[in-house]
Amino acid sequence: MAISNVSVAFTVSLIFMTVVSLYVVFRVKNSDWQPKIRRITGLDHIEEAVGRATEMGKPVHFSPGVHDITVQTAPQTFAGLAILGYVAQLCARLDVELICTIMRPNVYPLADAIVRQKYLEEGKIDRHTDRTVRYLGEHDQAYAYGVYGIMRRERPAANIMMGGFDGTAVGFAENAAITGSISVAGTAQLPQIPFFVASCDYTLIGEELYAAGAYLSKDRDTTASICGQDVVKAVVIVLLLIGTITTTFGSNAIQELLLR
Amino acid sequence: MSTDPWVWIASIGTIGVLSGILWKDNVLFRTVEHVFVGLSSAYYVFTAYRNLVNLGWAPLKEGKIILVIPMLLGLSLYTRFTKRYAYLSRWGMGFLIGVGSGLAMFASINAQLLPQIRANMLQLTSLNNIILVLGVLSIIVYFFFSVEQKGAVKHVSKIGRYMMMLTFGVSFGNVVQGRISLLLGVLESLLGKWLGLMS
Repeated sequence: MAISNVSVAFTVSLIFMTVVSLYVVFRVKNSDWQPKIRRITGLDHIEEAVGRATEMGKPVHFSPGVHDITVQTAPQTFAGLAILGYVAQLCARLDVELICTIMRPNVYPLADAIVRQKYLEEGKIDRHTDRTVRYLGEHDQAYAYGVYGIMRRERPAANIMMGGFDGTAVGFAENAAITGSISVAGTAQLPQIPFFVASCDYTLIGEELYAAGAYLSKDRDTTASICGQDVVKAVVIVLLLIGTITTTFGSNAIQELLLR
Repeated sequence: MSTDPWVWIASIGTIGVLSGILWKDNVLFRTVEHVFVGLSSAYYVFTAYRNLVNLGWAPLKEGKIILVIPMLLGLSLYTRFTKRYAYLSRWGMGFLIGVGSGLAMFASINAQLLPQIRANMLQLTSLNNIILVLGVLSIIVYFFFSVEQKGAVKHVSKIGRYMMMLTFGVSFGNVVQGRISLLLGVLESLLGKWLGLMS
């Protein structure tokens, strides 16, 4: 659909979501209220996984997914990069080797800059080398075989996968399990989630991945934007309830309104 | 047995990859892995170069001056290799991130949010529809992050969790079935095309 053909419903939804999110962010900024995010179990285990790698003296493998930053699934990659910052900081603090594997050339400079910054903040820039963030080729099979090879040869104690993943990712978790590594994964790719649930120790499901950045950073603005999204979800629930009731009684007014 | 060298290369490559996954790291797996990573990088470098020539340089020479802007933004990404001008790379990167975010927002609302809301406004006249609507509502409740999961919210979100697990189970089964047909294709290629054991 071309941008010029957008529906009224799309425009209203976009404006509504933006206004609600901004309103909550500004409201939080100008008040003493500290927004809170509920516990996300999978994320709590990242620290445990990095701690395990520290005790075993083995590296941590991180993948921010196989999707680019110029496509519709870009937010998943951004969420993965936000978690990469947290993992890199933990690794630098605990003196654990981090291996971050990258498939997309556009993601490489972002990941490298994030990791470098976190090592700098922890005063461990000397531990950041050219082998910390590794580009493995822009082909899903080539990237997968590269990761499989790293798993087999360098045997990381923790395997963290956060971002947009496709079919090959189940092999990462499988190889991690064979080499005795603990796996924590998160993706919003619906066909991939069941495989992560089955093959990983802990999994972030769908939107939990997006909330992860706010959960880990504890930043007021980011947390407030998550609260704004919750307001939008509440509106969606109300809309669904009204629409379902009116449809049951024979009126399609709400559905037609959304088609305009 | 096949006499086609490409069938031999493909078959040995397949066995190499499978040996690394099903057995352990070995010379054949490492060779195939490095060849694959190297070839894919080379292929994408060539594709990028061809795109630059065909979609950038050639139209530019024909007078499409506007293409200077994306080309400059692209070139700015390379400034990160110099300390003095590294800040310029943020322009190109910012543009890429902006495009990604814009596309995601447009697609999420148009292709996912609105159609899904419409599709779930069902007449509550059958058990299927009731389960579907209640399932969707409980899953949305599960994804509330600013509300503590206790009391009624906890129970509703638990229903949402079970609904998701059911869906994941069905999806898992479907994909596994698809993967088995892929495996059969590989076995057919190895045993039939390569070794000639299958007609």
